[in-house]
Amino acid sequence: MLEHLERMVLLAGERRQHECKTMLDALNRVTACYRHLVITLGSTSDSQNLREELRKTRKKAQELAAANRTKLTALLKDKSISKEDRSEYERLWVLFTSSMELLDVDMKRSLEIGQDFPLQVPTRHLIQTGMSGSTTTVAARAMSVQNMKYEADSNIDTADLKELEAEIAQVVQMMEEMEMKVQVAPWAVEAKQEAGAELKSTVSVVRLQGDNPKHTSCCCCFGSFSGGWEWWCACRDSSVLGRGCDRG
Amino acid sequence: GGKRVRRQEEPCALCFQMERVIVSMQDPDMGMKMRNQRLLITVIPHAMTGNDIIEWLVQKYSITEEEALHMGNLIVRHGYIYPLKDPRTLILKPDETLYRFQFQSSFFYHSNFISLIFLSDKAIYLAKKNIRKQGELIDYEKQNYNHLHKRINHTWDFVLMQAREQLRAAKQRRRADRIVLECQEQAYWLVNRPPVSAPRRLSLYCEQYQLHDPIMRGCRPSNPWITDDTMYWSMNSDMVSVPAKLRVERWSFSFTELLSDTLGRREFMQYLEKEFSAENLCFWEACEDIRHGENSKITQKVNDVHTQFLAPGASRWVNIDSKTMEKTLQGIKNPHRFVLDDAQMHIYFLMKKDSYPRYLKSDLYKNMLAKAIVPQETKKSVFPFMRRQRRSSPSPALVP
Repeated sequence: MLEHLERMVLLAGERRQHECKTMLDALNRVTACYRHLVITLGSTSDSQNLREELRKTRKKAQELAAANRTKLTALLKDKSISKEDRSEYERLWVLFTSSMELLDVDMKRSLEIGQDFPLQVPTRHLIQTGMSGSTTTVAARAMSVQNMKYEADSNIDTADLKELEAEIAQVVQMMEEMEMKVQVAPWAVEAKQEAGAELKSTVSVVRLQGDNPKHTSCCCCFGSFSGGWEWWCACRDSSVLGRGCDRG
Repeated sequence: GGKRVRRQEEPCALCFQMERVIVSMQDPDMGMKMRNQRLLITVIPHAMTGNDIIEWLVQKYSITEEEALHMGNLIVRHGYIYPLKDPRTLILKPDETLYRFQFQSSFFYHSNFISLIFLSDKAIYLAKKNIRKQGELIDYEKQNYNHLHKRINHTWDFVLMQAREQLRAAKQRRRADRIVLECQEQAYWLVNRPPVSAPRRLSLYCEQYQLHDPIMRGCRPSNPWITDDTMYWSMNSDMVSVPAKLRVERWSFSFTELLSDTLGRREFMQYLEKEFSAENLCFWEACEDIRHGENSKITQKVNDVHTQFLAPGASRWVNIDSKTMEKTLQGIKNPHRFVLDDAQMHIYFLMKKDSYPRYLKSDLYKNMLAKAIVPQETKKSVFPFMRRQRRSSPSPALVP
């Protein structure tokens, strides 16, 4: 009977991990598409359609970000999960925050270039980079739809900018909150894939480490992600095991 | 005191100029006339020859061919325009060699090169290339790849995931656009500096540095290149007792500015000594010395660092998290130039986030700012872009 229960718990754990990974994959895909769209801004491939694609993709990214954050923070706060599971969730957390950083940077760029290249102004010339095709299939991929539907007004290039500004502030705030609430030191995480793993067509996601890794994130330290690596140790004791302590 | 090279970034005025030139080139009536690039079955628009560029510059700005060539070379070196056939040779050839505009193909808004996004971006680019070339990266690309893999190992899964997805996204574009994207990205990383992509971003940066730019505001007391008076250099040399006000102000712009100024760093060290955390800066300096120092001395230096800063009970023990410490101690067994990177970065950010802001609020810094001098201008500085008589100084190469 006990064995059966144990197995149920294991399966539930696996299912949770799988759900997390699927959601992260989706966020990763949308991030890549968004990056691709942002690169097109200001060039001769820029258009009102592109601006709408950017807006829609961005909204999708934010939905996925919120969902991922909720799920992962809940899991990381759960003190009952095993050390192995926790280290895996920490790895997923680093994947998540890396995506967010990229999104943050891309959103900021999209704002600045969007402001500098309003499409209705005849004196602002787009840069002739050699690109001439549309990005509609990229956006469709981000939205997981067959074809993009364009519904925006013809002034979306300027109309969207205020909202974008507000959303950037939201993302920044969210990332700051995450730093405060979630205790994961980014470099405590080990990647599963080794150098050159991208050359294998089916990547086997095998654990690189043998034994249980020692969790050594200080409970009073906050891993800070907004610029990348920054973190600040408020206390001098950096050898507390990652179970949380009274001070946390 | 020697010549003071003005930071590793270019003077703002120069970037402004180049940016305006690029934008003018886009004018449908008065701008560059574009050609098509033909690659077997694909035709890609918006190409121009070296000759086209020089001709246009000569006409537009009423300058000589020599000056146009010089300007064109600057533009290519800074990555605004890139050569299509031979991307690694960043020069403007006055012939039928083809070039194209590059615009924000990859980017980041941190002018600080230590930014993680910069590193991730580069890693993603190399991983994408690795996939496309099926493992056949060039030597220096392989080196970069391996170095990045060590340096940002914790985010490597993300790097690979993002690389794959970016390739899949690119597959949605038509072939011609895909080729342009690849060439652009490659060109960008060959120039390898933050692209000056948006005038607004540039103008914010320039606003901050404008008062400090000797070209825009003139040097006080005078520009040594014009007046032959070297006072400007000697006043700003490394270890003066009373620094210039502008110089001390710059220390508050960024932690990098403070650290890269010898005097600033010494002041900061003084401050840290008062706070009993000078070992952090000493450790950081020791790591820098290893990174940039002689190969033959690396092993010895790494061992010294270990004894002084990292070993349990070390006299100047630095506070690094256990995981990084463990990894570093392991790495030290096979010492190499970058073995202390993780630990160094941790300490760098510790200082940046903790000690640096407090230093800026401290009496030590405030006093330094108060006693810093603003020299009187001895001669009106001439805006350098106007033509003027150049006086040649006696060359040291002339044999008496």
